[in-house]
Amino acid sequence: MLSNILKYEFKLIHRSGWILSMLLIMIVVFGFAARNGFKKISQRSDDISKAKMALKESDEKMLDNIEKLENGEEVDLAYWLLPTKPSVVGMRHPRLTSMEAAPLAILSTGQSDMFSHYSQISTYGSGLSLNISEMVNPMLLLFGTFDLAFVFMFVIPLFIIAYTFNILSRESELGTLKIIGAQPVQVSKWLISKLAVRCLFFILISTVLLLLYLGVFARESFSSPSLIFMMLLQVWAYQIFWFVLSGVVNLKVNNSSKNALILIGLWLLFVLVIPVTTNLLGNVLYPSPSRLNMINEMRTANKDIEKKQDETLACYLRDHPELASTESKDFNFWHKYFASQDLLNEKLDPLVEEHQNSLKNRQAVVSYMKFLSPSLLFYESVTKLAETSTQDYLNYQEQAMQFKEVWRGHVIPLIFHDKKYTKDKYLEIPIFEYERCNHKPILWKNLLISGLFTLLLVLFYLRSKFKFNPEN
Amino acid sequence: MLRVIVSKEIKEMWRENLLKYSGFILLFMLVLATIIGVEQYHRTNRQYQAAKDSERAIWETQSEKNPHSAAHYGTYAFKPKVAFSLIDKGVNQYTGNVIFLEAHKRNEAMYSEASDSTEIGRFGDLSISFVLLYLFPLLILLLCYKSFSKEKEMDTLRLLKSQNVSSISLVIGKWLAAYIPIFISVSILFLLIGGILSSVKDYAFFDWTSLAFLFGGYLLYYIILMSLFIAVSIWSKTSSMSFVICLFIWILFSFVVPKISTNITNDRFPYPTKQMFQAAVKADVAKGLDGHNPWNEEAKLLKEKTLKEYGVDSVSQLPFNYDGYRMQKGEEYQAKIYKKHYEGLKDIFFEQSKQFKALSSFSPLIPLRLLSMNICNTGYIAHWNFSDKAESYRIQKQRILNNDLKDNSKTGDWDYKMTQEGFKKLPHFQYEPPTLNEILKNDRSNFFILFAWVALSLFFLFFSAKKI
Repeated sequence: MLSNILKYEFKLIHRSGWILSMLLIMIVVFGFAARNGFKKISQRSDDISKAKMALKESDEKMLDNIEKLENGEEVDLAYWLLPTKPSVVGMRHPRLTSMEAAPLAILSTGQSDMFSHYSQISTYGSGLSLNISEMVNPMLLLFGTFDLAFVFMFVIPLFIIAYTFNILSRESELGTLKIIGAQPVQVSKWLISKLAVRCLFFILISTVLLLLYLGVFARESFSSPSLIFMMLLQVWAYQIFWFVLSGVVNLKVNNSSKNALILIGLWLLFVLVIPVTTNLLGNVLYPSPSRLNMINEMRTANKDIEKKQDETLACYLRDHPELASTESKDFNFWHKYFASQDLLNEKLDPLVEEHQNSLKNRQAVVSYMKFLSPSLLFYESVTKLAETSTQDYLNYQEQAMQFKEVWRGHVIPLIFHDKKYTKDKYLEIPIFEYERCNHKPILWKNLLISGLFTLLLVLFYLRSKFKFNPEN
Repeated sequence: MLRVIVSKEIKEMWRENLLKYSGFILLFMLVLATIIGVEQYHRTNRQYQAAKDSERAIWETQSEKNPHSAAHYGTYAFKPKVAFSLIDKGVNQYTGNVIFLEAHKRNEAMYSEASDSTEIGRFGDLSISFVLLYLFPLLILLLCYKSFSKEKEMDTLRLLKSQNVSSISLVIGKWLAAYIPIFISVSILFLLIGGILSSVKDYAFFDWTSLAFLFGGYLLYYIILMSLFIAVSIWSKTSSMSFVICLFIWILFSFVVPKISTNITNDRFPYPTKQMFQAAVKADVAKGLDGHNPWNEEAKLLKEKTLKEYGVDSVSQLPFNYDGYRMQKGEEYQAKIYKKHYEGLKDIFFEQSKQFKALSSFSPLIPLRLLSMNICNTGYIAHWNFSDKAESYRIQKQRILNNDLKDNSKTGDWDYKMTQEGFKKLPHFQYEPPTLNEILKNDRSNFFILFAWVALSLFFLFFSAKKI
């Protein structure tokens, strides 16, 4: 009997014009979203390549000038721009830090439209002030982009709802449910089989399309099969959740109009109302620490240090005797600058740390609320897979700030010891290597919770099954 | 007859529990958004006032120093929160509200709320405009989707026609029945908001005319949706079908078209990356006068020209400090370069806006969204306005400080120091957002687009009436 149901359902799918239209729409929608992701990644890679090329050219020019100066030749540069001066190298030849796109970056724009993927790190300026915000029309950020994450999170559940909202109620309304009830099969089993076939069919289409477009636009992602597998697990879990939800509503309500209204209501709740309310509650329960206060506190600290610039240098050298030159006692602007900057950083570190912790706590509170909506869980997983989440950019920012210290460590001792920057020193020049976040634990956790949501629905479904009366 | 139709429809709507519950949920969300919005407004305003006062105190009490060093020391310009941000937060969360004003450099606003939030923040905040833009249309959908399809399903349409009612009267009656409750509830809502905003003492930049325009904009959008949804109901065989199509229209207008517009706009008119923009500015700045560098080619030319103008042989014979003069000339040159590049950026923004408006023919939500945030002074235009005014203030500040060096010291006298009295004389940065007239002058087209949508949707509705 079960095989008959499955055969019949496959035949229905095969003959349905609606299914064909949905398939065509999905091909277009997936294609457009994947193409948008691809364009973003290409732009990003292109920008980083150009920056790398510019750095290479600038370094070649700098080395050429250093070589000429070491050979006693003249160079066409003002004396304060000579690259043999370590302060010039540190400030005018900044190092490049970049964050290359992840293999699955095509999946979600996430925060990538808001943050910069590369920045030039100079020895000048506070290590606390690295701003990685990108220059962008905020209207575009407000509306967001049409990416695969949007398609999977917003659009696909609607297709599932449209495909299943009357799976049982239609039979009821057409009067055919009584005939099914007369067959040697339980209505609930019949419904599960129908849902399972549709779910499998849907999962098959979306998986094939997803893999197809990944093959077209992000072939390199196939070199990370574990990531692809995790992506598919997340997509499947989310789709199964919506199928099961629809099954439960069909069993509980069994009226096409009401089913549609309830399912759309739940869709609205999960993809729209809970996310916006979460943000609002996050603001109320854990307001963002004031950046304005932080600016004021930083300025006050800066003012205090500035007042005692000369004392500052003495204190600094007392703490860093390795930097005190034995040959020259003639300290210039740069000596005083770096001494005061380091002390300023030391003074501001606790302040910034407090601010960052407060921000992290707030983000954690907001993150806990994601457990209220499987859509939020799914969205978070996809942005983590694409490595376009806030956490990824904070990670990059933190690494870039640490690299600033490494870069300063390369240059500052030369300034304090009145040494020249040489070609040999260039061989030791630090190069930034970006280390990606490990999102695996959170991805598994989200998958597990998403599965729990579905399991709860299944239990609810089983409970409903025993109460279901086809006569209603 | 029209009155009978309207009153019968309203009675039916009133009896529908689903509508009552949905209305109640919306009301709850609006109240929540208002209460929390008011609290946030006061909190942000307190922080703004404290930061502004503290920054001024830091500037005035800084240690005596060379005026040009003070220019490098810089100040901050803070963007005030406007009263209408309670209704529509616009792009404020993405723009940042502080700009550091320093010598030689125009900086971007920093510390946007969005960069401090998780990716969940990108779904937006619950605000009055969110409810009005995204959720109110769903209430309209529930009011309208089965207005005719239900009559067809229950076979009462023939009965209605036998009462000698014209199709047009029927359509107008049903349309009015949906419009009246929406009009009344939106009017009450706007009156309440106006009452709150006008009665609280520290709500800045509020006026009733702006609120009236905002009210008009939202009503136009609701008229469009109502007409389309009722027309869909006329064409649909079943209420389920009508519901699905209306929902498709809502999703298309609210999410799909705006997002596709973003992609198309960004593809056609991309902004340069920040690094590229800065590199282009740096390259242009390097070509001209550097106030810090007397050996620069342009500096040499300036020196020659100045000596010639004053008929002297050396800068020490000039009646002012030439270093201060050169600094100011360098500052003017750099300000000109920044202006050129920011104008270029603005041109891209205008092209992007045009592109958005062109795509508004696929979604009336886009012109309404732009209109709403512009009237509320929380749009990108308001941010440009703030950024430009901060830049004008920066230029004025540099001029005052460089001229102080020029007029009160001699060339080569780097020991000259400006006192705290001098710092106190620097004018305060005052910012007022654009007035409604200024906004409407630039934003008329959004109203026109909405009116065009109204005309088209009403035409479609009355055309559909023939099918009844």
